[in-house]
Amino acid sequence: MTHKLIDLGKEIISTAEKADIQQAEAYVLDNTFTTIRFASSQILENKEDYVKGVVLRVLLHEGKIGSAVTTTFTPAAQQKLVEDAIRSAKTKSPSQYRSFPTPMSLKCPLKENDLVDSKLWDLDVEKLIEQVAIQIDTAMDLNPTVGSVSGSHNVYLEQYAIVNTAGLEVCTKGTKLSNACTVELEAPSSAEPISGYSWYDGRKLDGFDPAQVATESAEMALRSNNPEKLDPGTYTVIFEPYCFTEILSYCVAYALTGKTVRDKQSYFVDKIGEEVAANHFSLLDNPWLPDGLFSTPFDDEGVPTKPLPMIEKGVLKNYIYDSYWAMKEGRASTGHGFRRSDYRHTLGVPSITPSNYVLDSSERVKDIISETKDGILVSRVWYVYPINPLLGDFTGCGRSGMQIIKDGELTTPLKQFRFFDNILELFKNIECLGTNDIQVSPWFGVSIKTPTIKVNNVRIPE
Amino acid sequence: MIDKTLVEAVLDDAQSKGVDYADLRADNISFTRLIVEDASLEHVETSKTGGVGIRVLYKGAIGFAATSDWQAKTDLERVLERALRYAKSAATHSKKRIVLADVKICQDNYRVKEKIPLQTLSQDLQSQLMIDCCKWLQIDDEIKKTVANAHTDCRHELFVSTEGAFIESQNNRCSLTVSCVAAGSGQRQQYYKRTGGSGGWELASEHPWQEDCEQIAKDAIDLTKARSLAEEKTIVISDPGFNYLMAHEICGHPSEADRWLGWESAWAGRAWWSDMMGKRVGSELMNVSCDMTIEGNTSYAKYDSEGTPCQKTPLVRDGILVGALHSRQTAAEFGVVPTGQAIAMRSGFLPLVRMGNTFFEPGDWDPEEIIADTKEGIYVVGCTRPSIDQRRYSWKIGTQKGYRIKNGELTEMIRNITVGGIAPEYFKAIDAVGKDFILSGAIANCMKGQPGQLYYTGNGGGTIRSQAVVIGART
Repeated sequence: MTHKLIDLGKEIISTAEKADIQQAEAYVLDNTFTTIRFASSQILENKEDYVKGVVLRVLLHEGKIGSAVTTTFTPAAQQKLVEDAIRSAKTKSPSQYRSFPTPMSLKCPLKENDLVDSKLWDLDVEKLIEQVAIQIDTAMDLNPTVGSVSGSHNVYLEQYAIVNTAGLEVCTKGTKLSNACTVELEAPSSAEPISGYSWYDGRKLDGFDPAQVATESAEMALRSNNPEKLDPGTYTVIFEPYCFTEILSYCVAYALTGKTVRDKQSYFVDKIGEEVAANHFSLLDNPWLPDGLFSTPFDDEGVPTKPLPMIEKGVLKNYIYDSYWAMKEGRASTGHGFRRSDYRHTLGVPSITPSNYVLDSSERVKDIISETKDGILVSRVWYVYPINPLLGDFTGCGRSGMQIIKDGELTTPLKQFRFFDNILELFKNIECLGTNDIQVSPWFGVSIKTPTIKVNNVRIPE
Repeated sequence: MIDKTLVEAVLDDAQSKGVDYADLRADNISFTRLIVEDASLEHVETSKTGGVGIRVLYKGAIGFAATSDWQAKTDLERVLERALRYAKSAATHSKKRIVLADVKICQDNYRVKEKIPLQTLSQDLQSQLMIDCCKWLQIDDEIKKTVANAHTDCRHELFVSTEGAFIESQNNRCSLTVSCVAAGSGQRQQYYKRTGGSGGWELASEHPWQEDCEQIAKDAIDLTKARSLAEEKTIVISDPGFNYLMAHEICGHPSEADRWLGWESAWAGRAWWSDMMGKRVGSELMNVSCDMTIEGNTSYAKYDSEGTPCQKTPLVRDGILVGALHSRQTAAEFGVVPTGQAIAMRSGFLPLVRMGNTFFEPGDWDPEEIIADTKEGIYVVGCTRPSIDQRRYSWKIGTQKGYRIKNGELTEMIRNITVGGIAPEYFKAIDAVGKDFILSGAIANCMKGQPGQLYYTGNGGGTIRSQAVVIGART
């Protein structure tokens, strides 16, 4: 099938070549997104969206690039696509961009069966709905105080090809299974919902156990009942894996793109080579992560990918680029021109996006909680956003699984509370990482592999 | 657009297969985005996409399938077959039957009014205004970055149901956002302004941009020299630009009835006032409504994505919660009439309960009068990003700029103010509402659903005075 996408791409750039252009690039995407959404312990939505589309970019003289997108492939629609792309390009200001990416050898060690699970590709609708039914029944049967089970079960199948007149011709495919389960207690002891949360994100069906996800979620909810209010102050916070993925996705990823830095809208401006985090903490952008949700041998411009240290032992090492903004800075693309949020789209222009973030540290503690005298545990955060994006100020709320830690033991459950801090301060206050590394991909977020993280001096306002 | 006889044949086919209900939505969407940076057009994209989605209700379960790739009846039959398969499978596991509330069945064909039609808009004309904006922003060397970002979104949509609804529409929207970054005094500060809505390019081009750009640039520069503040609880007067996010996050989303039912508890969250119908949620000066029928505004529509006629829905009257926003599914759960708020981003998605234009109704005060009547406090203008808790009870919203009020006058400018509060406390403390009324929005920046659906909402109202905590920068 992927070869059919290449053929379609070739057909389109061949049509484009008949016009007065320097180069053309076709990005052909064929994807299916299936979602079973459940709430209040019932199945609410069962849906499937199939999209096949082509993005054509053309390069004219003086480095003018234009793009057009279509989901119709008749000869007339293809001709219109070319005309629209050329019209866009003519409008654009000149640039020094002289060529779409040329073919380069792909060094990525991942093979197709690392990215694609044939079991997932062929999974029946009935099986998906049955897995959801198992989750609802498992959680509801666990304890009579379980009130409702909600979440979504998503299977994403993609195949895409990139062909350009500079000789590039690549294609690949992938699968993704993303399951999230929230359990809320019946008649909680406080006005706010008492919830637990668990998830599975991966490329393979075999690693997924619907009952286990539901059980983890229900158990978190059960141990969160009878919560107390947390006094404002400065705390040592143990962030479980899901928390840091939201902080990194929404408050850090944008600040590490070369474009944001170029625009002086990042708090990492002029900080390459400087210490921006605790000196044991490292953040790697790893497109070759085995089973990584956004692992790929090439980006959506066909540029080969490779692991890139972002922060190494606390020191900022790199920003990421696509080919256009790399050209603007007089450097090479880092292979981060993607057309996706949490799944691929037919975006007319790639945007600079991380692959998989991997967190590491030379300070690893197997059981962080038992090593903590005083602190609080947060399992899931909510609505974490940069309030002052240029400064790195951010805020968010603890949503699920908050408990006081006293002398290495989890004690009193906590009501939802707000934290309000600064990313650079937070990074410098990281004390250690756990050893329970797990992959998470939050809603419209970055794919991240992270363990539990212990951070000191987190500010919890009134 | 898809042929009428073909649609009817597919829906007849659905009925012959035993569905209780089916609808088909088709669309052709033309989208453009232009971004001018420092007077250079750096980003141009155009897209023409479309598709068909079919929803069926079978034995109390919903199934939905969609495709962007169809040419013949057989393609649509395959989509119907998939939708039916989902519904049948879900029906075997469903403990409760899904019901759709009755609505008025409509046949209509409407088109948004435009003076400068977007579908034939010259990109040169667009980019020239944007380049001019960047030049107008460049009032001083302290301006380090200027950006003008415009989009157009033209949607030809069709809704047909087995109940006899047949609604065709052409709704076009556009926006123009200009922003700049200034640097000085060891600070970098950004300021922006946006205009647009449902209509033609006149929504952007007739705006007094030259005057506004100069003010935007001046504000950014002044903010680099402005003071910060620590943290204080004080009287806060907020302009319509700030109240855009207040209305959106703390009133609009909590009015969506799917949240009241817990259907969004895993994702978008619940609603702080879901158990307060008929009870006081704010002062007597608080009045909130949702109305998608305001022509020219961002989420203008005559019908929602279920073919339900849109209407003005009162949500809060004199501080009492009086209404919620409903789809046919949530209305059936509550035993009420659907309000026409079930909206899908495109034909590939199922409709969700969305707020549309939600706003604070205007009051009696001149905005200047509110300031003059305030001995001490903070006046905040515009918004940046929000953060709210799972019920939208505890909230924080960033502002573009602020001023300290002393003895009824605006005095020093203050930068990086974040306003925060507890929803009912803040609304009950409202003691003045301005007669100025501005709805903002213009871009699709509200996300809901799984997979996420980005859609257009217009929000705002008049100037409001209440009490809140204001916090300065963390660094």
